[in-house]
Amino acid sequence: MRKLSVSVLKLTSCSGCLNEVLYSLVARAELLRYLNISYFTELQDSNAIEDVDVAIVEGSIVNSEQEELVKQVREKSRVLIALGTCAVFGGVQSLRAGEDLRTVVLASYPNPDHIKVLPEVKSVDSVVNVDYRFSGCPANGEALARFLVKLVMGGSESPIVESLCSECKRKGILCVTVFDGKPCLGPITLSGCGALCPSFRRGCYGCYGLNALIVDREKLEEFSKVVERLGMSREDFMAMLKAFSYSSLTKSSSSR
Amino acid sequence: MLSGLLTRVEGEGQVVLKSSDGRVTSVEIKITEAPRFFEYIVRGRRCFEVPDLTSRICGLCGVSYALTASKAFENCLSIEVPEDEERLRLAVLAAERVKSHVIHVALLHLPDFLEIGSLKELSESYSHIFSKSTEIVLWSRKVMETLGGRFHNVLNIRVGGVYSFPSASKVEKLKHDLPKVIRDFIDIAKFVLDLGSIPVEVHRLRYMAVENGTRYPWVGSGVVADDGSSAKVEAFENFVLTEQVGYSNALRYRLITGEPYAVGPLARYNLYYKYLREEAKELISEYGYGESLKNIYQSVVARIAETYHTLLELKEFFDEYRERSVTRTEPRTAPRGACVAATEAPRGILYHRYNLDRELRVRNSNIVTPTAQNLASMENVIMSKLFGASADTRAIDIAKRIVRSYDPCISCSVHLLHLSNTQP
Repeated sequence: MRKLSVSVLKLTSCSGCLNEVLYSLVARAELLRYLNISYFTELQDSNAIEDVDVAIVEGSIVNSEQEELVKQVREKSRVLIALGTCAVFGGVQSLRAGEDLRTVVLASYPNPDHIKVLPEVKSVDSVVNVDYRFSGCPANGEALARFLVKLVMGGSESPIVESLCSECKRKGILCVTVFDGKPCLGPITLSGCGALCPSFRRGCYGCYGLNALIVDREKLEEFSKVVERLGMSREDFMAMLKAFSYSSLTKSSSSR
Repeated sequence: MLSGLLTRVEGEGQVVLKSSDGRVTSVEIKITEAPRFFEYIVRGRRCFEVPDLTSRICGLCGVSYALTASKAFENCLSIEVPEDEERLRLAVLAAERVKSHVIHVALLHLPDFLEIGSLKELSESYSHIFSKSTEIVLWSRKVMETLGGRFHNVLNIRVGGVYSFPSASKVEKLKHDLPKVIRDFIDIAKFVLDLGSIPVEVHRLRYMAVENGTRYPWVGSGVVADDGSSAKVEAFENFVLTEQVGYSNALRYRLITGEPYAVGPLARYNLYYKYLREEAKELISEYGYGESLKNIYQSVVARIAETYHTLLELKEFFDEYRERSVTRTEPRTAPRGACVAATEAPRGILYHRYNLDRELRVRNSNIVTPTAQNLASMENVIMSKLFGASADTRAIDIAKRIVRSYDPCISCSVHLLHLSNTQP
């Protein structure tokens, strides 16, 4: 079997999803035999980014260097995977997107002149074409491992798009909204985590991102009233959406 | 000028050696990681949402962030956390320390001692050590998933306690695998220590850790430096100096004297050696390591001792674990003063300060991360070794090895918060 060459890159992020890559390599030790990891600075001494079969990209884009980098990587890879909510939707740093940049920078740095960032926070697919998306904060390493095995075997992933509620039902978790009266973003959030928060009897806060296939602006409005009645203010609801679903909010108002 | 990309560390950075006539004159650790402005991100958020947001500062030590934020709010709102819930949270913190240390010792740092550069080489040439270390990482993942909800961005830590207790049968499974984890860990530790390649030179190091009474440190009411000087957590921001340099996206910190200081396993070890479990002391004493470590490379010894110590603490937790129902805990007062807390993250002191308004929304904040505190110390050790040395690739390799010994977490160091010490 031919080895798949892989590069793993980090943009603006916390490395949590890179650690899920590490996990998938550790949990499926046989993978290391079939992968040729050409670039992964967290794990090995690497220098140049080369042509590869698969590029895995973590993080969102907040400066022009990252924009150039991701374009280069796109050119040099056959398959490009956006890994994690930052890469797919923008991630928590999106909470500062669109705000006055000087205020944002001054809030953090005494001398803002050295700090170069764009006013926007961009998902990877707003800059280049993405072949596969694994959202999640962090992305599910188990799902990534299964996917890498399939790629090695020459197969490909067929994505399932459903809401988190499906996972609660499959696992027999009593609905936290119905039984505990807690606000839960499960109905509008992509599945994939295994319904972790409800299994700990807390409401989902949407870290896998908005299921935009079934939830449009109008439904979001209706849903915001539901969670408001359960005690989550509209302001807090909108903040959670911006934190974990930013690019889908901006896309649904544009023509994409 | 010579520069090298920092590899086998978390995040993006470079070490740059400046030279004149071929001799090293100065060093800059450039943190090129893009900032995420967490100070702005949490502004306006209710305090109850903050632990889930700050946990995103770091994919390696999110438990420390979630717990420190929760404790800061519990302190200023007089929320009493039930003892069993606190024990559960500390067990998650302990699992994080094991995970972080084993990844560093056996997967990221070990290649330095073996003079190889990749995980693949490690997995092929030292497969017995590789497979034991991955088994431990996988076990620590199970511990974190069972007790905390997941490996990163744990979700079972809230302001006031936890969301639920895992079933006793799930905890029993973790306990069942622990003896093998301990045996495997001892094998890894002996393999690393037997290599005999940890340098013995003496570094002039200042260091600091949280003050934790009579226990090896996790959470503290203050901080203490190597010379015995100390401060309450409330006074931490005046106990250190903060600086910003043009070549780095991370703020940096020094002692009030202007000296750089180190935080992390070496600081904890040297300050609290006497509180380490006897078993942990014995494991390393066979190799001649006693109550004080002499240089930053020996942080690996501290990580080994701490990991063993922590595995034994976890054993006690499992032995005594009983499933319970959670207690509802509410703020008992309006916010009193700034909300502050300090814990020992795997890499050292993690300090949070938040100022809340009456609706319990964050007005401003300051987070001081371990790696940001270590930056000045890294440069200092590099200069003490390389100043005047020939500026070549060997020098860069030495500089990179020194940085790696601190186990830097670069994403953390670039979250960057408020400096002006505004009090409400």
